[in-house]
Amino acid sequence: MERPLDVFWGYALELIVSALRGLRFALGRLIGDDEGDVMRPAAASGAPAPPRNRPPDAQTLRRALATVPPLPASYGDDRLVLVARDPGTLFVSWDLPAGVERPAGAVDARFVLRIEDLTLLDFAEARAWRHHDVEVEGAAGSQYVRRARPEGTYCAELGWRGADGTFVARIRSAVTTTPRAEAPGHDPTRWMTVRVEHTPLGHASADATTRLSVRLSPAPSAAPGAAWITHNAARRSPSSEERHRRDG
Amino acid sequence: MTGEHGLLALVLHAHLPWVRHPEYETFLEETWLFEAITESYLPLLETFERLAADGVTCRAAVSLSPPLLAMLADPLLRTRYQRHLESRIELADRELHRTRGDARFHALAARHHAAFTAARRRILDRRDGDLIGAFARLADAGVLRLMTTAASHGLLPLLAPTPQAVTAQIAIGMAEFRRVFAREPVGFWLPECGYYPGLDRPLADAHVRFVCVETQAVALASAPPLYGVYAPIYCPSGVAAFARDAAASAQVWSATTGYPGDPAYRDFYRDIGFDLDYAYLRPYLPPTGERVATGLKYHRVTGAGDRKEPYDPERARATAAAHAAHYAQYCADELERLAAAFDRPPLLTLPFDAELFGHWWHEGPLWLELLCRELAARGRVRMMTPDEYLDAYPTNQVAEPNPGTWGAHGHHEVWLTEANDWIYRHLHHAADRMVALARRHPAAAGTTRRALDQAARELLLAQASDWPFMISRGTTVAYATKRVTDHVARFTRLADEIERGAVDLEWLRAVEAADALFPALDYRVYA
Repeated sequence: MERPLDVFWGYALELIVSALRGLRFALGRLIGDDEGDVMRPAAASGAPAPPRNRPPDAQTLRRALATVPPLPASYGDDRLVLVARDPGTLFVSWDLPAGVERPAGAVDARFVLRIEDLTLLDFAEARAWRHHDVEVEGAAGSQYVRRARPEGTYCAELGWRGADGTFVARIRSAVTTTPRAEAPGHDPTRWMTVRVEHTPLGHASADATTRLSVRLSPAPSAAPGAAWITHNAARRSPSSEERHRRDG
Repeated sequence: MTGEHGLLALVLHAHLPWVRHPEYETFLEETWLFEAITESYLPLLETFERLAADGVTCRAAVSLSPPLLAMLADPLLRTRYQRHLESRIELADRELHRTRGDARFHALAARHHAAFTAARRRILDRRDGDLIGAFARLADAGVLRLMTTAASHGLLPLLAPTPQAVTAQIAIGMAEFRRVFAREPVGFWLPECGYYPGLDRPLADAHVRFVCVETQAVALASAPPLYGVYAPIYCPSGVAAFARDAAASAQVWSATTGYPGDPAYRDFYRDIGFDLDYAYLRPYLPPTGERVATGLKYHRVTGAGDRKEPYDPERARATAAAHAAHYAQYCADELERLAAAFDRPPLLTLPFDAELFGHWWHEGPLWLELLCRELAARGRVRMMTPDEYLDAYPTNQVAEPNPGTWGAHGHHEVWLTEANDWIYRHLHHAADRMVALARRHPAAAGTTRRALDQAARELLLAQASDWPFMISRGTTVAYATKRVTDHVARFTRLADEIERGAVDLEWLRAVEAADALFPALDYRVYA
């Protein structure tokens, strides 16, 4: 059943609130209300967010927001990002200042993206045990490299490779590791006990009112052992059919 | 409980991207919110309210994203939702007249009319029309446990090149929840279940207790999980990771191999907006005049082809009841098998998008209600939320989850592919620039402060995982592309003006009015 009184009072309430906001806006102007305070976060005081000034109307907004400049093709900010997209694929994107100079004397040098395979190495110190080069163009670009392997550790470099094979890196990415694809890792079995500690700080605070208390623990008395895993892991590992996942 | 075989953790994730366009009188994408309210959020609330009123023991964890909360609370969108309902009631009323010679379709039109009218009645009710308050009351009643998620639903692994971008998504998501609900979230929904090694550290720093991850994240963790995916593991920092049970969840969400594809259920795509005379429909179509779904649907799935039979609500209800009984039996059997090898009750973790129930799968809320009643009546499977599990079983194995998402193939292919990879160059650059701005202005005030806060909002909105998802799926590509472009461009202009010390106040006001969420945001979270 419809309730016209509710509708009426709803509209009336909206009108009153709107009028009060308008009054506040006008008074704020008269007494020099600092507009900078209008958007101040409420969290510090724990109070709800304050109302804003009367918003611009639709036409004003449309006009103000209409002009959107195209995004630049390059920012020239000297960046090389490496992402492990899946167990077999790395995604590399780069954005270098325009006019990257090739090294002196390297007339025939090619600009290449080098994927260094650092799997099982101390990558901070050691040299990669193999690499894969892709010739690329442009100070800004991206590339999928579909030569990774599961649980492999990689970094990317962009630089110049001379005719004699020497490589001079211009920029290096952070290191990334691809996901496992078939079986879990071999870390030792460890246990932990975590409990929540409450630290009441009052309502509507932006700060947490709980903390986690974490400590390592002995194994539960009868946790399933390796035999259960051997028996069940294969059954419960995601099959190709199970991988037919949510996609919409 | 005698005869109890195990536990079931139902986790519903409610999220929509920020689709509020005050610059237009009507905007097509705002109907995503309106349809989700009518078809999913209201039916789900009413499902849990009925269960609570009937004393049915039922538990679910529900995450509500900050953009969704902001839209549910927004006066403009509430007004527009009422207008939308009025329009749908008028259309359903006309349908009652048009179909009066056909008993089957007339009854279906009447169902739509009743549903829209009930939605209007509820939304106008001072108490029950506050949907956020309704979720909070169900949490107070012990039926729901409320979670938060990343501020704008950014896919955290792809934002990781700038660590502060991840930290900010987490911190603002937590702070928004506390601001809205005045309580702690019990857990944190990882957008798209996206995890990467080390993500647990900023989560732990933000006092997150648990997250949900994809099956393979635990099945292929750094150490063999001794309970398989039927107990959480602790990440090295102590944050618990609950793995989705892939087979059990596919039964519920998959339109090809799961329940929603049953021929008896209502067809999602067949809608009178595409069937009826254009002139008749024109008042209910967007100003651009394109045919769109109206929400009035009269046919059932029937089969794979285009031929669709009329929808039969009684048959659909009977099918939902059969599916609920089947699922209760399936879960009990699966947990009984596992319990024999466990020293504690095995746990099935079932995370879903909340919008699956009602919007994509019309009978989903009904199925869920019948399932809860089945489980309670049979007593072999107990519903328990992840935080309740951790209270009961605080000692768990430690391992680093395998990275991935719940998207196709369990990795990032959906959000990082040739169609959408152009986005990330801009996101990474903007995030680094935001960090630099925050460090350069450790104590900004006045207009500069406003501009910095708004720059952070624009960055967050550009980072939403929804845009690359839509582009990758080929749905609303132009809109998703425009949204990324607009937010990055707005960020860039604000950053330029802040650096020049010349913020255009009128333009800032306009952008604040358009992208008016995260009211408590403090840009210094990026410093």
